[in-house]
Amino acid sequence: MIYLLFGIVILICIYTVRHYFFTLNRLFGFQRHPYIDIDTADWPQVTVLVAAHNEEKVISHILTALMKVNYPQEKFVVMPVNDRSTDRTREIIDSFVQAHPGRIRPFHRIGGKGGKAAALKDAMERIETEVILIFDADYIPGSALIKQLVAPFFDPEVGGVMGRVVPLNVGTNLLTRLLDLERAGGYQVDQQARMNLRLVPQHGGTVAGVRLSALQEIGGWNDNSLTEDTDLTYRLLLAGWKTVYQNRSECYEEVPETWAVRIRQIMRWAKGHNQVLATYGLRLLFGKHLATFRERVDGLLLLGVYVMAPVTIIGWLLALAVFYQGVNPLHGIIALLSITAYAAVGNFAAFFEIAAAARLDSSRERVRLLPLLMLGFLVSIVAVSRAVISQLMDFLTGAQLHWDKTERFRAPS
Amino acid sequence: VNPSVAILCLVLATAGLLALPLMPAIGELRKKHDAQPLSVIQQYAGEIRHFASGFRNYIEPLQQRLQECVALRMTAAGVLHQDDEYLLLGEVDQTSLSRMVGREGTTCPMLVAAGVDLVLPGGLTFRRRPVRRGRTEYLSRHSRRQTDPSATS
Repeated sequence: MIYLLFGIVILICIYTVRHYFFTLNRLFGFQRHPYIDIDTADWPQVTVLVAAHNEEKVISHILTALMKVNYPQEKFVVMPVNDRSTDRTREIIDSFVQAHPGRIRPFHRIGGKGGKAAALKDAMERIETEVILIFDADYIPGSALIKQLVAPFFDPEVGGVMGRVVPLNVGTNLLTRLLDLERAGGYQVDQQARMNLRLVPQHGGTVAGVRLSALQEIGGWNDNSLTEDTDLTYRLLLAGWKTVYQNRSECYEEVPETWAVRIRQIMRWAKGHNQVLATYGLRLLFGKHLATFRERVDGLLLLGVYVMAPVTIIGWLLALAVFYQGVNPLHGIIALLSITAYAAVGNFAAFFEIAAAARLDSSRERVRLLPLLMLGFLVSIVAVSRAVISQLMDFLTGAQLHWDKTERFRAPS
Repeated sequence: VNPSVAILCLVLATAGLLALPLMPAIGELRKKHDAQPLSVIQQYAGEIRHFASGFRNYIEPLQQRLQECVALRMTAAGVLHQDDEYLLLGEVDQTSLSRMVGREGTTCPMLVAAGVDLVLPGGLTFRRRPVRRGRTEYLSRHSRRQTDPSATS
């Protein structure tokens, strides 16, 4: 038992070092923004996919924003992917098609497999442009965003692009404020550090782009995956394509406003990540492909983040059991590692990352909410652990994975 | 001392100490000093033409007066956009230039615009990048500190 605890402590220490390394890199290291200066170019044809399933509350906002973007009109087509909506989504999309003839080519999907990946897979058959951008329907892109997301595709090694997600409904309640901090840490520090260090920036499946030829080479969207974006990141990596992160390509999104929705969202992310870990983990680490050693290690650690939640809980339980069994772990290397492990989950490598992100964003007051993030952390650790258990049960019983759409909260216009 | 009071005091003191780090958080949660969405540059991110155009508009009111200064070989000073001091150089007299823009180790707060070749004293910090039509030379090391976006050309 003590050896298992020892192993868990070492794992937590690895993640602690990773968090601190990323944060220090972001604060003091060289920042890579290789494509940010591309301003004038022979811009390629681009198709913007807007994934929409019952999005009557938000679809008009994104379509309005996309009609105003700064991109040559003759090279820019918007394709709302209306996936079996039963509300007014279709009606709203069609009204935009009429108002902007030739600029919106809708794809109304009325049947087939559920889930965003399945819808995008069907839409892919209708796309002819080399560059594809993807937005979820609750996002509001700025006018310069399209060029920024397209610019990296002038680099022939780039297969995928990811921009930064910024919550719009920050001030609604405690949850949205905590999620705002989490997003800041995840993008401003974590993603940009991975970009700086030439590791594995993650494709987020929205505010993102993918090269059609790369997508075709890896077999298109994986509609069996709960997180088609993570799946895409790893398949691109294994096929030798680079995914780049553009920290300045910012786009507003709506974050969940209720804990129930948040828990469902994070459970889906956890299951999807774990699914990708199980599918590609070993191949990523030991397989013959073009990923560098650092990409292999970072890629595996990135996939492992959701596994760490139940591992940490097991660590806490083991520590209690060891204590009541009379074993004294507080000596030598175990004592040192335990303190470091405590620092990872309590004192608080991830929290340090978020504080650094708030500083980089020059948002001075919101960082005061940091102690309350412990609440979000506890909810997440329990929800993710539940997801892992449920996933194991599904695996044992042969049940199908179910895709949960994230509920929207914005008032319809 | 009554043991119950002692326990109560201990519990209250412990609770107070635990609550202490949460006070700023709860204060921010209630008062929402910083609860607006992060201000992301939505419209002109990375568009150098936008910033160039903004700068052109910023110095537009000086154009005519600068041309007059060049024609009359004189200097002029004034205030632009209510609170930005400027210095227009239609000719460069090195002895008086130091007096006007500052000596080594000092900071020049003014926007300096020249219609002729400009040789600036060294060791100066310019709050705004000097604007000139001709060449600019610095007699020694200088620095520039941007204080507002309009200073970017």
